[in-house]
Amino acid sequence: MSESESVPENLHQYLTFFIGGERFALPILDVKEIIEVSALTRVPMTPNFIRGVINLRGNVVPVIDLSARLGRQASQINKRSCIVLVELEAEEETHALGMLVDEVNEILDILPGHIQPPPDFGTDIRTEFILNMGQVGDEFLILLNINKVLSIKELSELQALNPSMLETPTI
Amino acid sequence: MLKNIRLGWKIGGGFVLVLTLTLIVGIVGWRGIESIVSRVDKADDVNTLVKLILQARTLETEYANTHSEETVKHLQQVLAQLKQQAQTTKDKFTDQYNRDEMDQVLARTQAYENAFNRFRSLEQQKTQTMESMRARARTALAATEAMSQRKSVELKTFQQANTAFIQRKLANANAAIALTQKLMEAKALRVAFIHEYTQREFQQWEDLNEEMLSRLRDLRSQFTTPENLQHLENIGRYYRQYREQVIELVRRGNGLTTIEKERAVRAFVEQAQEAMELMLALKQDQEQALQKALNDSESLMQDMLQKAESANAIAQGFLNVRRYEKEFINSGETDYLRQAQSMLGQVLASARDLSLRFEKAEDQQQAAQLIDALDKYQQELNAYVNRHNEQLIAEQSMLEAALAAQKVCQDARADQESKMRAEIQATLMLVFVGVILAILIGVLIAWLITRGITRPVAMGVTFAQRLAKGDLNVHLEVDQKDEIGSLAEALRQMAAQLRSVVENVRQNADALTSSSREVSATAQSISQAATEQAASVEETTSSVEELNASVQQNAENARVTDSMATRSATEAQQGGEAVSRTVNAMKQIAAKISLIEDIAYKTNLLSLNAAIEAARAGEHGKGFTVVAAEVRKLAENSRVTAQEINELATQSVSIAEQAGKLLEQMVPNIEKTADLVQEISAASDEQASGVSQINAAMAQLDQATQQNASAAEELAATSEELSGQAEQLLNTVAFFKLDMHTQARPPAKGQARLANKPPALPSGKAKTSSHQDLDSLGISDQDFERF
Repeated sequence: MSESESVPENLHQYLTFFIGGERFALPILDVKEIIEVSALTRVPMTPNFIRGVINLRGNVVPVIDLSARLGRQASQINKRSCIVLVELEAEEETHALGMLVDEVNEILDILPGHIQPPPDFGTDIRTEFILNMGQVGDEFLILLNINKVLSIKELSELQALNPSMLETPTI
Repeated sequence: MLKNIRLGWKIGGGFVLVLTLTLIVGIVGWRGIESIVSRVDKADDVNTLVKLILQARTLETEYANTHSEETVKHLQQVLAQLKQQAQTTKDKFTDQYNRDEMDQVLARTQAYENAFNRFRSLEQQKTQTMESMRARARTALAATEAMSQRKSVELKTFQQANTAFIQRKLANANAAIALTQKLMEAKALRVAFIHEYTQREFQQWEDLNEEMLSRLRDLRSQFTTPENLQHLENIGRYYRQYREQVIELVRRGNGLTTIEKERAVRAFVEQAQEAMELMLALKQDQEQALQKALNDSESLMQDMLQKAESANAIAQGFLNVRRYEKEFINSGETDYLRQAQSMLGQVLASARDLSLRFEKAEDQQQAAQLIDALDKYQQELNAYVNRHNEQLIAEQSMLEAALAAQKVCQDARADQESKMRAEIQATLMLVFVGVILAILIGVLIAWLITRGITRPVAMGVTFAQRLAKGDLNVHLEVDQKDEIGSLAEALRQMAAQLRSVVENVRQNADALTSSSREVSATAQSISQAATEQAASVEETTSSVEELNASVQQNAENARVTDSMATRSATEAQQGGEAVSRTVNAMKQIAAKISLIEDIAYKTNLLSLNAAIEAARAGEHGKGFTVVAAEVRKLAENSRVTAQEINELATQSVSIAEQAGKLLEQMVPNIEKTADLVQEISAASDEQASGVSQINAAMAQLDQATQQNASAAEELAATSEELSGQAEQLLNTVAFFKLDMHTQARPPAKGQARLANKPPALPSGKAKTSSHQDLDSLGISDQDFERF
């Protein structure tokens, strides 16, 4: 976040992508990398929005199905499906997390004047996940609050789950 | 009422009635036979009773003869059977009189059984009495035999003793006589040798002397009485003296003088005389003793013989008594009993007499024993006789009971038989009356039914016969509801229909006559028209020939069109194949273009990553950001272009496919066209042949028209003939007689009919022609349809 202050124009850049035919956006600095969907290893006994883990240059990275996480159907993997890697900081630790999206679109510049607060209701998404609404042309983009989407609490649950996950299949 | 019942019911009812009567007769007969059978059964039972009674009698007689326990058992069984049979028979009987009879039989049987039991117990007692009687008899017999035995033994011993005694006496007497003779011999010898002495004679004399002396010694041993012994002593003494004197004389012999000799001789002669006298006395004495002994033994023997005889007679008499007694027991004859009793009395009397004659105590005791035994035997015999008499009474009562039972049974049997005969009579009577009644009723019913059927049938037959003769005015007077009634109704209806048919025929024949004239006129005009027709047919023929030429040209054109259409179809097919190949190529292009699109997406991805990296690099990445943006734009452009090409290719594919489809659709159409053209060609050929056929047909038509013209003329002539035949038909129909009443029935068409009856000659040809005429005129169709 300290970088974002020093490079203010980067704050206006957002990565847009499609989930279930709808376009969402993320601040570009939250994104670490976009990779194509490779072999996904399923982890048993996990919530349905965790699609599994991938091998990212030798590291285990959990992948979250964003569509399922946002209360929709689990997304179907096609040849345009991508995993957007993000980094989260929690309890003084940096976690890498993958988000499965249907298609990445482009990087957009949205000026702060075009940013609106989230509505109280009217969308089928929990509003706490919405950071802001960005106006591009005539349409509004939902800017996801990644810290809510992948909340610390749930991350800790994930953390707590991880060791047990490793043991459970053997039992 | 009988008229309105259906025929089947009538006949069936009649049969059922007859069958019912037969059944009743049968039941009556059956019941009669049943009761007879039960009577026979009862009579049979009674017969069985009689048989059982007779069997019991036989067994009873057998028992009286054999006294076997088995027979008793058998008899008891028979009696039990008899009672049971009587009870059964009684149960079978319903008549109180018969039941009483059976009760009597039962009572008699009971009495018989009691009498038999008494008879049997008496028999046993008798047997016991007989046993004891026999024991007594044996004792008595033993006593008599002992007595007679004893007597005979006594007699024998006495006889033996007596004989010995007499023989002894006889021997003594003989010895005495022998002695005397020896003495005489000795005397003679002595005389001889005295006078003329010889040694030999002397020696003989000496021997005699020795013999005599020895005999005397022998006699001494034989004699017992002292008197006789004295005699013998004396004899011996005298004889020895005599001998000694003789020997003295002989010794001195010649030395002595004659006087001395004479003296000496005298002396020994005296001695000898003395001995001789003694000897004679002895002899006499012995003879007397013998005589006395003989006399004594004779009287004693007599007495003894008498007693022995009496004893024997007693034994014999008692044996006779036993014999008679046995005879009595065996035969039951009282004569034997009387003889036995009288004989026993005699035996007793002689035994008593004998006992009085006995002197010895032993004998008397024995005799008393005998008498006692005989007395007891007599008592037992009397007891036996009493038992026997009682048994006779029991037997009598038994016999009476049996006879009474038998008589009752025989009465009952006779009663049953008489009842049975009465029942047979009654049953026969009933069956006879029933049969007669059944026959009478059956005949009556048969007559009624037959009459009910035949009479109306005969009426119907007469009706039909009159109808056949043509009289349609007859009436059928049958008013019934059965099948015959309906037959009569049908006949009536037939007559009515016939009447109306005949009427109609008459009317129509009238009409026919007038119509046939019209037909004649019409036929003339037809003839004319036919000639005209022939002319027009010729014109038509030439037109048809022209038509034939044009049709053949059509067929040629159609053939050319057909080959062209076939070629087009092949070409269209080839076009379709080319289009499908183009479509495949287009699809491959589209697939390749989607690869380019993927490459563009990946490039976009890379550019995004680059943008992100650049953003992360901040100020240093600013230039890179621009490059990334350019790359991204390039990727976007190539993607868009690829998408456009893809769209175009896809569109071309669809267009090409549409073209292919159209071509594919076109090919069958063209083929179909070719087929159609072929058909047209074939049809044209057919038309050509059809037209030539029409041509031929026209020629025929022409001919036919000519024929028509001549036929119409013929028709005119025929219609003339038809009117004549219609008249004939009228005459024929006149055969049916119709009265005024029936003539009035058809509505307003009555016409006067010809009364005379010309002979009917319907020929097949005339008939058909008349039909044709009728059809052509169309007059009578409606009328015929009405029927």
